[in-house]
Amino acid sequence: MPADHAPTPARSAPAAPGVSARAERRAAPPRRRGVATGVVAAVAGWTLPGLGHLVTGHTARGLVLAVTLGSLWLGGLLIGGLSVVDRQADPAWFLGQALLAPSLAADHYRARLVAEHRAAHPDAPGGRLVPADRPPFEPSFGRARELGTLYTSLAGLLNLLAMLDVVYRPVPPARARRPAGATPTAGGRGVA
Amino acid sequence: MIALLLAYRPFIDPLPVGPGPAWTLALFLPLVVAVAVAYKAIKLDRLAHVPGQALRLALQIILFMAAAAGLLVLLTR
Repeated sequence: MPADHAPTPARSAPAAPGVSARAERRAAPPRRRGVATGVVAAVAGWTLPGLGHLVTGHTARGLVLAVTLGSLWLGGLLIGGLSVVDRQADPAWFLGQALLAPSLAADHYRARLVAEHRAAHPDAPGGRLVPADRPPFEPSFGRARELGTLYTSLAGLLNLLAMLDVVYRPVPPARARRPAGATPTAGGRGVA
Repeated sequence: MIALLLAYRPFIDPLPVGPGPAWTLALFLPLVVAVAVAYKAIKLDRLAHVPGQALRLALQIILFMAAAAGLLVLLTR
């Protein structure tokens, strides 16, 4: 377990007078949660980047991850088009892309478009679509394909880090349940 | 080129850049920044430190990529 995530022992000293509620929340020690809850949060994070952190109370961190990883994944599709998410043509890259659930939806949609195209044009040659086939989407080549594949695969790999992080990250003090009658404690480190 | 741009459907078709003019290398910059921000947002305990640390990491990645590219140019010429 990383040192940053180690739970800090609670101190019994009451908060000093004049300390704001926000400062008290920051000073309260983070609580550990069950691994099962963390796994549920990780699955939520796989569905949409940052959602795992959002549902466990790490709102700011979840928003940063949602914007960053979402932009990376959408940027990959914007640059490389739908054909960069292709389970059959690039299975190794797809392993990275599949660490974000929307990639599965994009691959399913691409496969459906290809199947419909092949059903409408049974005389078209098999194999990977080329522009001469007049496919339902333009296949990408060259730098656009490289960049689009890199963007979407890196978004998936970074999302794996985020999913592992949310499994082991302690519950923020603001959401941790306090025993009845307990007073906020000073000391310890807050988590965002 | 104008016909290509008019036919372009975002998120469905690739950017009409052809085999890859030199300016497309600049598209690596947002990639590097996003990787640095996401990594630091996961690693750091305080989110207030993320912008500075992410900028520093992004610059380090760019410098090392440039150094690796320079080394490869020297080795392959």
